[in-house]
Amino acid sequence: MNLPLALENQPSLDDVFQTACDLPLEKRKAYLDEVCAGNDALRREVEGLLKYDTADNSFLEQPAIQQMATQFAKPAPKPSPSSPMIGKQIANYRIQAMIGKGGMGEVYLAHDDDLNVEAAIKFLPEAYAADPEWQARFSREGRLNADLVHKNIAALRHKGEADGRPFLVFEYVPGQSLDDRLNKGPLPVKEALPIFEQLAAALAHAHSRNIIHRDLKPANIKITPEGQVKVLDFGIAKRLKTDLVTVDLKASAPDEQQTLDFGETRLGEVIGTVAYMSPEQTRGELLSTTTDLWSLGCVMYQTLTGRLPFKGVNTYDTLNLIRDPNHEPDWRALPADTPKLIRKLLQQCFIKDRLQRQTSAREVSREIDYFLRFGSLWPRRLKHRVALVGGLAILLLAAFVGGIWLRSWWIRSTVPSEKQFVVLPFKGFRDEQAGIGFADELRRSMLSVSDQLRAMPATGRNLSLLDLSAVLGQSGANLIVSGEVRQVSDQILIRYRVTNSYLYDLLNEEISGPTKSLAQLQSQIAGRIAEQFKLAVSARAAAFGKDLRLGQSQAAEQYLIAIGELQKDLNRESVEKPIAILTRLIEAEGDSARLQSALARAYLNKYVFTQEPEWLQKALQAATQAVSLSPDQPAVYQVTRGLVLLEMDETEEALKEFDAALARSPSDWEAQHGSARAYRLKRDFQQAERIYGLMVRQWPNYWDSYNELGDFYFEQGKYDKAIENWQRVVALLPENPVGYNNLASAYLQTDQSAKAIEAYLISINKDRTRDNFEARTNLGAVYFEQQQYSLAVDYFRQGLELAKEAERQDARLFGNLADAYRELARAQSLPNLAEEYNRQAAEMYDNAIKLSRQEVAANTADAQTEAYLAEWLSKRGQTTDAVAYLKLALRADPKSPEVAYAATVVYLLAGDLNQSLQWLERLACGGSSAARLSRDPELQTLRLDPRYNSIIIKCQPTNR
Amino acid sequence: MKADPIKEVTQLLRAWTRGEEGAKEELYQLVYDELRRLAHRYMSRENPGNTLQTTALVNDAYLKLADTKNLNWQNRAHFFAVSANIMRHILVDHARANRAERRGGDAQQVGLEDIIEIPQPLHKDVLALNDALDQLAKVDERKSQVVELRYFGGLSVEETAEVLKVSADTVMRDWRLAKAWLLRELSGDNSHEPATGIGKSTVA
Repeated sequence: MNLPLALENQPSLDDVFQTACDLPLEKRKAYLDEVCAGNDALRREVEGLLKYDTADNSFLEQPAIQQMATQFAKPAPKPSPSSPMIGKQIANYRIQAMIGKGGMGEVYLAHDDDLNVEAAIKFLPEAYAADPEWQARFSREGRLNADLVHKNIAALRHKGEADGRPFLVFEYVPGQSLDDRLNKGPLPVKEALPIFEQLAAALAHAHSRNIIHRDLKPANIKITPEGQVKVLDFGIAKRLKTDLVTVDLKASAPDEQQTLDFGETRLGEVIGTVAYMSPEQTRGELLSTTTDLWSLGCVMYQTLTGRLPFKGVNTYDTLNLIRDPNHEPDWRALPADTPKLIRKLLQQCFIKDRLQRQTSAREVSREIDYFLRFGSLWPRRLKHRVALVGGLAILLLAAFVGGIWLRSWWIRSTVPSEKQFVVLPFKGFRDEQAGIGFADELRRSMLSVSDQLRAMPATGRNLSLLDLSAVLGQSGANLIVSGEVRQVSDQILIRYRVTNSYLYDLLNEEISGPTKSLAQLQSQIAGRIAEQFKLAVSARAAAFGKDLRLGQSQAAEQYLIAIGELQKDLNRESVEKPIAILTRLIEAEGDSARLQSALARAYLNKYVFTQEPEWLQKALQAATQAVSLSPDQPAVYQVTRGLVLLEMDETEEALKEFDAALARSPSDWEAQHGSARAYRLKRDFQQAERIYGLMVRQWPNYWDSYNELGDFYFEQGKYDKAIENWQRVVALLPENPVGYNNLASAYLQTDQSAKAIEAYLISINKDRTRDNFEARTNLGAVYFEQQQYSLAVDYFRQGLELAKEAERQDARLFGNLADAYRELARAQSLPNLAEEYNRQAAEMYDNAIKLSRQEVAANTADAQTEAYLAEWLSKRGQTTDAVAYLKLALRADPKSPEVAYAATVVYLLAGDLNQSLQWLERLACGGSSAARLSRDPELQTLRLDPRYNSIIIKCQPTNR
Repeated sequence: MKADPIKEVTQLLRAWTRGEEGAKEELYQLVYDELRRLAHRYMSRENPGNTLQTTALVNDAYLKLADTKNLNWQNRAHFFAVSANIMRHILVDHARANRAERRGGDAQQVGLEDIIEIPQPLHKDVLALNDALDQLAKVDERKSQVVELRYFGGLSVEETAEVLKVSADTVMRDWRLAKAWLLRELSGDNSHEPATGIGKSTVA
């Protein structure tokens, strides 16, 4: 009968069972006799259950997860009886089983009695254990591995030696190798991708340490039961001294031997290993990190297809296939659902010419990671899930997956409420610079079509959709405009799309027309974007498009190149080129507002770079011309003219331009920004604050408003408010160093140097390029202040080198470094070292002196530069010159604290203590921080004079 | 950008309480991911020396995902119920996957995976228990839930009572009977009546 656990008018099984349970055993029978009278089924059921009530006291008492984990934590090793090592105790390790053996060593599973964990312990093969060459190799392997700390690389725990036999102890990685896994057939795409991502991440880490693996293959890759990938056996890895290493396969030195040489015992292994070698590796040529990329490609291909990409009938044949520039792997073998991205990456990995194979492991890992997070959904995934579980759960899971899919689709297609666009360079132009110019012009078109279309330029090096997080993290935008063009004779076809942060296309369209009407086409695109996102279009929308009149298609491309050049970092070449192109275009094509406006910006750049006032005049001419040439005068031109005027210190005039621009488009960010700047220069802080407030309210998620506001507060000494705003910048723009750098300077002002150091370190981490050289230089200065001179030297030096790369010559960079060396020398007790530091300091001072003398000669030096120059000269013992420059500086700016400081130092070093103390008094009474003066290593001798203290007390009585 | 998971769980729980159907699936996915992560951590061999605390995994997930201040006890109960059910899926899936893998590897020589693998009987236990629990649910849904919450969810008696809105005493009683019932089912003891209607018709 169907089991009635509770029936009406009948004693329920529940009650009977529970009551019986509570009774002593001997009384149960009597109870059941009574209560189950006439109901045999119930009685049988209760008796049956009672039998099991106490059958297993541990049953279900531990929660499932704990039970599984406990079981899991207790492996039951099955020692292989063949090895004499098994059961041996070596140091604190008890050898339990051999888990690997090859020409390179023997690996055992061991129990670490000290830490109570399993470990993998590797010995040199017995035959070579006494060979010094092998020992050296082995110890090198240890050093290399010690440098690799990454979640996807098996970690080295310990190095040791027992009975003259060195050993390395590694983290024991449970799970099976990829090789074992592939023996059962290829992996489905969705299982394979996370493996690829982790593999690439492991390689990227090694490469960042200048270490290449050289023997990546499925047998060296383990996958833990949790799905974590661990790369093993950096045994023949090599540290790159420069960019390249040579591998000579024929060389007999064990140091350079490859698995190839060890595999003679089993032919299959030889083929297997050779199969992952890059062409350059098979030829014994120079190797760089990209050799690992090739092997990674092989592993990926094999994982997806179950077969090797290059496999001949014998080893010789295989080597030939790998080297043959015309032989490609069989792409059709890849499963149909292989994502395009993976096909692309495989093609990049399998580029035969090492120099052309330019992809990096970091890139591969990042791209797959992105794909996994935001990439397209595979309908196939549903199939896998269902097939895996089967049975009853199918319905439930199908409902699941449906829900997930719907949810993902919904999220993927979201449109952010506050729209901030970033425009990526367009592809398809012959000259890359034109693509950058196109993007910037489109951005301006968007601004002019609607002041709700806030569009930012994509900055820096991350200019591809593949670097999505970097693009968004560095620009603070949430929508991406990208696209490509195709030019056929005089026509241009533009495909443009707007993508959200899930890489979901919200707009994907084409437009075409004559190339020379490019500006109108861009205005139309901007109009379409405004329409799509329901943004108000301004009445003068079309005007901007008509402001560029070009006669020929070639002129259009030239124009775009000039605009692209304007976006470049300023250097001698990049400031000249756009001026040349634009002047030529104005002559050939006739004058138009857009050309003049661009020319104004080009002159402005040249002024910023050269500081020669004549370019400012030219910029103003061009900007004025632009405004007058456009009958409808879109705000853009007035903003440009306003910016030039600001640079000329014509604050009132500038303000008029910005006001006029704001009258036309009240929410134009650039105009607001310019206007706030002008008020700040006028020292009308209330107005400036009001405008910043407007900007922030209008674009609550746009970082630059907060950045400006932070700067505004910083300038006024309101550091807490500055910090508050810059923290928002960091939150909105986590990948860009700018926020961190600003925060650091505010922390320094509030004596939070630990926080400042942290901020600089993050900043350096976010941007290690020359663009961010200041972070290093400033960090050096913080360390200098903290009297950590060797750290200061390090960072000053790095900053200096990056600045050189950026063509930013600044005498102070040399001067700072020299000061740090000077202090190092002072603190050094070993005469030899001290002398060396002094020599370095002298060299750096001389560089600084040379550079600033040039500035003085070119008449571009200000009082500050002259003061510094004097200080450096005196530190080099050239007192007469020093005093001469000091006088120049004094004439230029008698009140400058920098000059007073220089004078204090110059006279002190010249031995004129009285003069020096007089200057110190001016310095201290002028507001220089007593704390800073008391820390200044240069003033050490001055501080010994009793008059020093009385001066400080006199000038800063509260500050003692 | 990715939505804040905490806010989402809170909202989803509310939506679910209001009876919005889609909310459950979404909640499932979120909790599934978090629990799987936690479960992996628990099962990883990082600290095998440590005694694993009976602290419910689910509690961890709950603290991690839910905005505890803004949730009433009803939401919490829902969350526990969902989580226990998900935990069951995770562990069953895990056991199935391991069993499948083992099947392929049996014939080969001793490799690493054999050394560290979870002993075979446990997989069988979990899978068999899972089936038995399905059977129990057909007979007495609540008892099966008690087991799911306590064994798979790791909940205490009190927490289980809270979820099921019964007294702790009832939970204890259910628990005791359910265990006996399951043990009998797992022992393959056929002396009792078949538990399901289908079973009955075939016998007849």
